This record gives sequence, C-alpha cells and structure tokens, in this order.
Amino acid sequence: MNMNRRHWLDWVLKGVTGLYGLVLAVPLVKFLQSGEGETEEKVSQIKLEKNVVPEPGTSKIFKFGSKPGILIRRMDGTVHALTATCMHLGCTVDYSKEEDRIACACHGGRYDASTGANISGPPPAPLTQLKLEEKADGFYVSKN
Amino acid sequence: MNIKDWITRFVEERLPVKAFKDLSAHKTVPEHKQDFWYYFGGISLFFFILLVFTGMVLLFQYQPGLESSHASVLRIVTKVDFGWLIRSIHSWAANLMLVAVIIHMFSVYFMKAYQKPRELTWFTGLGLLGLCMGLGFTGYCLVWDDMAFFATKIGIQIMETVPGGSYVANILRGGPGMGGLTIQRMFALHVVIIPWIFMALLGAHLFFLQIHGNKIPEGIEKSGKYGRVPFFPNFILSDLYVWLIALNLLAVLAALFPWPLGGEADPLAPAPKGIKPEWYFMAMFQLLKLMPAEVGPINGELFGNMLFGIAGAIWATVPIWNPATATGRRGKIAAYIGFAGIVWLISFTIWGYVAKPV
Amino acid sequence: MNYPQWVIEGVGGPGVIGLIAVSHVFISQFAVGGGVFLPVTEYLARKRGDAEMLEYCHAHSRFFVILTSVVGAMFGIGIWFAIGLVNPDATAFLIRNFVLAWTIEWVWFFLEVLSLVVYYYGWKTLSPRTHMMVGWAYMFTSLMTLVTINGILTFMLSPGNWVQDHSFWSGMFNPTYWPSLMMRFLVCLALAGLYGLITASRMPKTHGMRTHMLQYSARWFIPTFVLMIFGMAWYYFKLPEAQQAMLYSGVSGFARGNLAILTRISMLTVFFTCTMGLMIYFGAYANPDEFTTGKIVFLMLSALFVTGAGEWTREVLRKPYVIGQVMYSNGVLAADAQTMEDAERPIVPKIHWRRAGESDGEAMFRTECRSCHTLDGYRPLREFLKGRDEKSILNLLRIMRPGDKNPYRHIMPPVVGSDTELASLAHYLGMEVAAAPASH
Repeated sequence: MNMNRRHWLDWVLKGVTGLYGLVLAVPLVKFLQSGEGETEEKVSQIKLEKNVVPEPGTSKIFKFGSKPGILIRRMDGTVHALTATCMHLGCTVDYSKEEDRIACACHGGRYDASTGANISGPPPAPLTQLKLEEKADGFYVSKN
Repeated sequence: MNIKDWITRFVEERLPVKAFKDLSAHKTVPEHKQDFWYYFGGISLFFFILLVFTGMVLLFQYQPGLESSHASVLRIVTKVDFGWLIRSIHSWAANLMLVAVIIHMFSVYFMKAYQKPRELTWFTGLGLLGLCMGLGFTGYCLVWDDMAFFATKIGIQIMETVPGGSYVANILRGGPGMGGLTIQRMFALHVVIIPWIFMALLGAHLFFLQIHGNKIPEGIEKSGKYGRVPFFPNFILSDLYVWLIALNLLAVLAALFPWPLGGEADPLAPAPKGIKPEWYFMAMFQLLKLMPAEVGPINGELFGNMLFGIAGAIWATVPIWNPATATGRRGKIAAYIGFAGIVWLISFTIWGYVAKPV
Repeated sequence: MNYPQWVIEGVGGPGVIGLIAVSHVFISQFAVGGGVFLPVTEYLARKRGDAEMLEYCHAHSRFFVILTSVVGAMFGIGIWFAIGLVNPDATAFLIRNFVLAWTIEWVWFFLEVLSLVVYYYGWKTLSPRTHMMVGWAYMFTSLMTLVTINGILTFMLSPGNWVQDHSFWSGMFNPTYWPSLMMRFLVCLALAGLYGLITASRMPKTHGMRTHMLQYSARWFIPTFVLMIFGMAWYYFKLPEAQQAMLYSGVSGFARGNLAILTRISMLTVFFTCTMGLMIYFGAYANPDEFTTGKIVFLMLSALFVTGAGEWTREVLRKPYVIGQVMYSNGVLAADAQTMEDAERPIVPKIHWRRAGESDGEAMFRTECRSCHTLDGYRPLREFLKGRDEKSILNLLRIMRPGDKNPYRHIMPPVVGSDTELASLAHYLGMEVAAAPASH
C-alpha cells in the first residue's frame, strides 16, 4: 500500500475511534448534567404586604420566581420594584439609603433606584424594572 | 520542532524512561496450556478501575443520609439521564469483580503460586479479597432499601456473637440501633477508608507480582512444555482483549438487567419474606443457618464463627503449612482442602438459593 | 384472523421467529460478505501469484458451501414456516404485495447457490479465468439477494409513500431503504472478515501466511468500523418521527414493561461496533501470534449478539405495527381500527378458525394478544395483570380501544371488539390470572 494512503487511513481510523468515544461519552455527560429543580420557575405575579416598606429609605428583597427582586421606597416616597441580580457577576444588590441608589457590595456597581439604569462601576447593563401595582391590600409585582 | 518529539525529550531528560523501557522489554510472561487463569487477576483489576470511575461519578448524584439515601438512588435510577446505566454498571461490575477475584484466588491456590517466594503476594491478595467483601457489604447498605437495611442489620449482628464484637458493631452502627449514623459510617468506609487501604494493598500486590513474575505450575515447569511471550506488547494486548470481553459482558448485563431497587427501608416493618444475603455471603449464611442454638457449652452462632475463623486461618496460612519444601503428602492435603473449599462454596451457595425461606 | 394460528407458550411466537431469523440473518449476511471476500481475495492472490493465499481461499470456500447453501437455506425456510404460522395475516399481506420481489429474490438465491457450488467444485478443474468469472458471478448474485430482500424488510418499518400510492416501487425504495442497505452491507463485510479470521487462525503458527492472512482479514473490518457510525446516524434521521422519539424513551428510568429497553439495546449496537473494532485491532491485527481459537469464540459471540440486538431493535421500533401504518402486530388492519365506531364492530365472527370448545374470550386472546404476549413466558400477561380482577381488566381493555385517548397507542395495537366481546375477553383473562401458578 502507498505510504501516504496508509498515513491517511491511520488518521481516519484514529478520528473515527475518537468519534465513537464521544458518542459513548454522551451518557456520562448527560448523567453529570442532570440536576434537581426546574430550570426557570414560571412566576407571573406575587403579592407583598404594605408594611414591608413602611417609610422612605427602606427596601425589601423578595423572591421572584427563582431569582431575587427588590422593592424600594425612595427618599422622595415613590415605590419601585426591580430585579435584584447585579448584571456584573450575579451578586444580589441592595438599596443604599445614604446614596438613594441601588448598590452592589461585591464590586461597587451603582444603579438608579427608579429605572435600574447602571450609573457607575462595572455593571454592563441596567437592572430590569418589574411592573408594580399598588392596591389597597398590598403591592402586586409582575413581569413587565 | 515536532511536538511529540519535544514531549518525549522533555520527559526523557527528567525521568529514567530508558530504565523502564529496558525493564518492560525484558519482562516476559509464561505461555502454556493453563495460562488462561492468568487473566483473572487482570480482569479483577479492570473491574476495580471501572468501579472507582463509576463510583466517583455516582458521588455527583448520591446524597447519603437517613432521608436522602434511598430518595437519591431512586432519583438516579428514574429521573437522572442514564442514571440507571451508571448505577447498574457499578453494581454489576462489583459482583463480576468478586467472581473474578474468587476465581483468581482458587487458580492461585491450585497452582501453588503462594509458595516461596510469593507468600507476601498471597497474603496481600487475601487482604484485598477481604476488602472487596467489605466494599460490597458497605456499598450494599448505601441504597437503604428494605433488603439493604436488613442485610446490613443481620451482618452487623453476626459480629456481636464474637467476643468483643459488640464494640465493633456499635462503632459501625453509630449506636445500638441502625440509623442515619450507620449510613454515614458505611459511606465513609465505602468511599474513603476502605478504598485507600485497598489502593495501598493493591500497589504492594502488583509490586510483588512484578518482582516474582507469574508462577508456572509445577507439572508444566518440569515437563518443560511452556514458552515465554514478551509482556509488552503481546501480553498487554491480550489483556486488553480480555478486558474488552469483560466490558462487553458488563454492558449487556447492565443494559438488559438493570440492578433493581427495593422500597425504602422501614426499621419498624417486618423483614421481607425470603430475605437473602448477597451471593458472596450466601455459603457462609447457609452454614450458619445449620448451626443449632447450642453446640455443647457454646452458642451456635459463635461456634459457626469459630469454624469460619479456623477454616479461614488454615486457608490463609497455606504457604506456611505447605511450603515448597514440603513432601508430596502435604501438597495432596492442600489440594483436597482446595477442592473441599470449592465444593462447599458452590453447593452451599446453590443450597442457600433453593432453600425454602424460614 | 383468516387463517389458523400457531400458539406458542414460553418463548412465544415472536421468540421463535426471532431465534430463527437472527440465525438466518447471521449466516446469510456472512454469505453475502463471503461473496465479496472470496473473489476479491482470489483476485489479489492471482495478481500477486501467491499460491499459498490461493490455497487459503480454497480452504475458506468449503466453509461457505456448507454454511450458506445448507444451513443458511434451512433457516430461511424456517422463517417462512414460523412467520406463516405465527402471523399468517401479515405473511399473506407481504406475499400478495411483493410477489415480484420474492420471485426475483428466489432467482438470485438459486443463482447464488449454483455459482457457489460451481466455484467450490471448480477450484481444481476450471481454468483460472473461468473460475474467477464464476467468483464474480457469485459476488454479484449474493449482493443482489441483499438488495432485494432489504426492500421488503425496510418496507415493514417505513412504508413511506406506499401508504398513498400502493406502488410496488415506492414500497421497495422506501425512506429507510438506502441507509439500511448500507448498514447491512457493512455488516456483511465485517462478518466476512470475522470468518476469514477463523480460517486464518487455524493455520499453523510457524506459517508466515497465518500472520499475513490474519491481518488481511482484520482489515475487512475497517470500512464497517469507519462508516457504521455514520450509517446509524443516517438510518436514525430517516426513521419516522414517532420511531425516533421511541429511541429516547429509555434515557432515564428503568421501569419494566415499557420500551425503555429499546434505548438500551440500540445503545449496545453502537457500543459493540466500537468494542469489536478494538478487539480485532488489539487481537488479530496488532497481536496475531496470540490470536487463538478461544479469543475468536468471544468475537463471534459478540457478533452474534450485536446481530440479534440490531434486528431486535428494528423489529421493536415497528411497534405497534407489523407493517408500518398499515397492519398492526396482531394482524388487524390499521384502517379497521381507527375510531371508536370501528371498535364497536364485532370481531369474533371474523375469527374463522376456532378450536373445539374455545370460548369467545380465548379466541380473542389468541388472535388479538398472542402474537406478542404469552401467559407466563415472553411479555407475560399473567404477570402484567397480576392483582387485577375481571372488572379492572375490562376497564384496562376499554382504555386500549382505538382512538387518540388510548395511552398505549404508540406501542400496542388497539383492542377491537364490541362491548360484550370485550367483556368475554376480560372474563377469560380474569380466569387465567386468578388461576396463576402459585410458584412465582
């Protein structure tokens, strides 16, 4: 047999053996991938009591689906709801009464407390605003 | 420069590669009409490697604990993708490994491969067999289904009949009764403690084998009807071939007969009907069942355990009472004992399975 | 329903067909592979003027005469015997629709055996040129038997356009025809190589020819090893969607009685293709000196197993049909069992062959269930229905009637029959389950 052809055949055989290896590794990868819990909880609306943000400068972190959200009564008295996962590396943010902004303690990111716009620090994108309805019996938060 | 050459040179300049190469080039394995039995040690090793691997993978999904043990195994075999496959491979490989180890032991016994200079290989091998059974016993407990619960309970209870055994039993159980601590301790034994000891003993066992080489049975050695094949590559390739056969067998068993899982253990429920130990404890279990409550002045169970102790001691010390220098009569006795051992193991195991549950 | 039916307890009708068919496939695919292997090897030997290699071919062809023309043919007739008795309606359907194909198949087979006999007995008497010609004729005819039968086999799984146009040709060249032909041809080559290994390994070890022929035969596995993985993928993508989904049913969970086992067995076919490739490489190619008869036994067992696994996968993939979209496994035409109105039509009058003293329930069990189930053996109904009384069996039967609500519709033919007939079937099954042998 021609030496070149033999060399080529050698590579084909090695490649196909590798391919079989990959196919047979699928069960292993699938096994390790299987985890608990559903991927994204489908939550449309939750209700929060009126007294969680009783006065200006208070805030409350709540569970919205599988991720945290934050309800803020700003110094001017307006109430806002936003997602609370920092867009930088996924820390949970908090409301800073002194600055009247949303602050992330991990790397110093700052967001506007009403719109969620990223103001300073490393965050590459704004926080998402949640739809907030104030009714007589409480705050109703839902996805926009 | 070619990357392969570079790596070769990098390693050669730092490690005594040439010495290893010379060693492997000169290493040979005897070839004769009984060399078939040499493969069983290798098969055992192959199954052990598979067990370590699948065991590590299972640790990513298994959660030990009174509440979670059974639930997580149930989750593995019903919800996790290919969970039934990995678990079945682990269980089947464990059982096949014990089969291979037992065949390996008997073949070594009948080839008289325990005689000088190979006594240490024999002793470490027996130690490995004991550890295998220990791994089987502790692993069986971890699924925490009703069979596992009672098998573990009975197994530990048997230890209590031996003087001082109650201390060991209490340590294993983590108290007088079976509970969460029992699982925790069995888990520790199964995944950390026994494997580490096993690795050390296995290293010694293989090291001794490397020093002495394979034993050629006396008759064949005298007749001179044997050849020698290079260990590398011939024997290694043959070994790989046999490993692939073992792998095929394992794949068929694991895929077509997935290992079953019973209901969750309930300490207050009566023992399930027809409860039986794993097959590798069956012969012992069946012999213990035959013991009357009292044998003379001593307790029947204790008598049975003493019997095992004596028989085990005779078996283990065969290199001492049947050394290479011994007369032919000793050799004959050893052979008779070996046959008696096989007959007992096979007949009592079968008897144990066909016997009506009490 | 129109013919008497053979009732087999234990391994069951499908079991008997399966055992005969797997043996037949194993041997006849080897015959086709051999049809390629022998003339090609002879050609190479003559080209090189290698007398020893030629002698090898001669010794090797003896094998073929005995195995293919005698044993293979016997098993072939055995298949007709078994399918005709166990599932007469489907057999009649296949004969009626493929008369032309069967005729062609038998002509090819006759020519194949004829050329093989001439080939074997002509080794010493025919001139090299004539002998070579007979060899090529053997190769061609044996390939044509595969080309023909493959159409009918794949038709049963994926009838494709035949369902609409009822054309012979769209039935023959149905969606899975080409991938299946490719896979079967690759299997033939691999088996030819395996049998080549057997003959080679029996040569004396001191003979240089032994090593040469072992490595030569081992190379015959290369196309299979390289292309099979793609053939399987091709086949998979040509399968009807429902069949593709079935192959996923066993990824998680190990419950008995469902089709999870299909996933497992199809996985084994991929796995064995890979391990057998490695076995041939480690054993015959890289280490020919140590390649002994004992090692071949395991290789042949693996090949037999993977043949069985492959055929079994194809058969079970077809569920609930025996002929895709057309006829259910139990011989009921799909067109006759689509809606509840179809179910209401009585079935018992259509069962033309009754045993003396047979109740309606038993006759229904025999025609509607027996082609896949037994009482105690293969897919045992006594075990599946354990703990149910007559009433609960009737409820179960009711939800298995035709229509979209039947949860079993993807794996089992619907139960047909009027209300009273169903009741008598339930009565019969209830009695049988209650009379279950105590030792279980």
